[in-house]
Amino acid sequence: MPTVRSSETPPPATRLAPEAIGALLAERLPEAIVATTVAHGQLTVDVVPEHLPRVAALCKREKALGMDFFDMMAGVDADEDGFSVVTRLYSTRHRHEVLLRALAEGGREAPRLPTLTGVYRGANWHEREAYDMYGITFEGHPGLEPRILTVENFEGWPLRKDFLLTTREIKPWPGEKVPKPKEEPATSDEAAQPADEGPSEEERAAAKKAKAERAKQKAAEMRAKKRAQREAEAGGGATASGGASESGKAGDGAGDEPEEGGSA
Amino acid sequence: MSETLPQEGGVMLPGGPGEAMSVEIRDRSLVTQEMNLNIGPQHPATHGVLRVVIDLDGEVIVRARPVIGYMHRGFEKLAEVRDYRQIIALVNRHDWISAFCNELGVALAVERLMELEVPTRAQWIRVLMGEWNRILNHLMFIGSFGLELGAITPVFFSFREREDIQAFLESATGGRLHFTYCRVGGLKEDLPRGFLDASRQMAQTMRSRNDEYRQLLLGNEIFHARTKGVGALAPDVAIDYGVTGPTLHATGVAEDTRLTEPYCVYDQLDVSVPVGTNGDSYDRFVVLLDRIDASLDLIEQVHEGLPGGPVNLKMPKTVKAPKGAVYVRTENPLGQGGYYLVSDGGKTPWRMRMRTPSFSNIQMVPELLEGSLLSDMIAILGSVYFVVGDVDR
Repeated sequence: MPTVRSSETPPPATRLAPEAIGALLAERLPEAIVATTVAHGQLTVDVVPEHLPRVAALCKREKALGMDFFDMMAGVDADEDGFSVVTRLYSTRHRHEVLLRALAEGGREAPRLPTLTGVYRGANWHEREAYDMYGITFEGHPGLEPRILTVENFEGWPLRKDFLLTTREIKPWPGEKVPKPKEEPATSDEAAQPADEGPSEEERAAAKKAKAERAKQKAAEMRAKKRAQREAEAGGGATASGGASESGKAGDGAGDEPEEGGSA
Repeated sequence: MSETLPQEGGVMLPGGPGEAMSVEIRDRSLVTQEMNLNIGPQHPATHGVLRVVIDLDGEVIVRARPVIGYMHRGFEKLAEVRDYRQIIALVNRHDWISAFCNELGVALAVERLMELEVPTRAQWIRVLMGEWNRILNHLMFIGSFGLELGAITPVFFSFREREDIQAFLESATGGRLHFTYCRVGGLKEDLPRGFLDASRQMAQTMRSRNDEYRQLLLGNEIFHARTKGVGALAPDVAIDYGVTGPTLHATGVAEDTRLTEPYCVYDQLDVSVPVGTNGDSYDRFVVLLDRIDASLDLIEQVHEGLPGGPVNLKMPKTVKAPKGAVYVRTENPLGQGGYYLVSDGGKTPWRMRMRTPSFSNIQMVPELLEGSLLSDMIAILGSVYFVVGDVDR
């Protein structure tokens, strides 16, 4: 089989800078573009939802853009604004990319967007997944049902922030450090972040104290044991003192058993 | 396809199995009743729990509909309640045979959001581990593809090598399957003493073993007959569906993230990407074999050029990614992995979308199945390389 080497395929001269792509899109479809932002070297274009297919088609068919590769689509919970959908398009010829972000119309109740399946065949399953996870309806899609990942009779939209992760609800986080997603007085998604439902502040403090106490006792026990050993070695035949320390140690040990640690 | 019978080693091979048969049946204008056949979800040829519902006209597949979701475990939801350190241990589980490559993608995404500069040595070791993981993955598919076509020996051979590779990767990472070796800001720890020697030796062994697989399978006439011209994929269809990895490369398109958007130190290495010409099952398989050699080339380059120094940045105990969003893509063994990370500035991601290669590849499968014979389905499904855990997440 032939091989393609990296030394033989330098980046093409037709590769456009993120800013240039943003400018080109804004110039060609001014009514469809809300904003363009470049962050971490990546271009994100906010698109008017109803014009999303037009923008995608332009990205695909415009020669200078040539974005033939449908990469992925990601639904994102946008809090009170509803839900947005981010689509990444890429050009295999020019090696540049764009992230198209569209805020679904209809808020949190009935989010809807026009479908991209007419432009890219690959959009089909990605839209079905966004529907399954967020309940976003893609108008004109050949068939969002049956639900692609969850079971057919599943109720609710699992990736919405108000959909509770029940394992976290019924079973507190077993670790000592609970990952807290939001520190500031949270907005509507507070209920969706049951992570801080773990052991309460006092419980954790008590557990810590008990642990420290156990460690202390254990250290004391070890010290006693060592001392006894040393005495036994030094004393040699002095069985009386050796026996005494032995019994003392045993008594200590009995007091140290886990039940005490548990009660502390 | 059917008009020329390819001649291989003096033996006449039946050409274009699917096409030839379907034409014959339709010409006789038999009225046949379509049959609905359900395959899976529990079927050895579906690599996990994939279900394919097909409509058959005689032996020809008229419609195929993959039904996925049997292994959906909600990884993206789980990621939203875990901090970045825990996510590393989470993402190497959805595609259990490309564990390290998935860890790497998440680490790269968080690092890009935090604008961290990872130590050079860590980046080189990441390449080394990533390439070994790629070989591990390909060995699995080389073995299983032979098995599905009725050749039971290759799987024993490839699993012998897999064990050896896993053994020395375990010495560095502590894991056989789920390495959890990557960290945000570097690696868990440096390579143990003797690791590079073991790696050098294994690379040498692997080269000769790869030739063995080649002879074992590619020298087999039955293998040729069952794969050549079967499930041919056109490059433009593949790109439209977002197909990546060996399945795309077999169609002749050299779209590989290591070439087109190098991460880690791939830009300092000479990366070679084997490409096919016909995009059929045979090409997909040969590309897989060649990719092992290409990965070994990279591994040898890392042995040569591995610099010294630390493998970790000093990181706080809980990593907080700044507010923002970033998309990072990596070349996973089965294709392009993508990680779209949205952070609200907290310890856990607000949203982490995992774009997995298997998902896009499986979506394209009906294009290949429709019009081909039922008996070719195995050769097609086995060569569109996918892991069901990676499809469903």
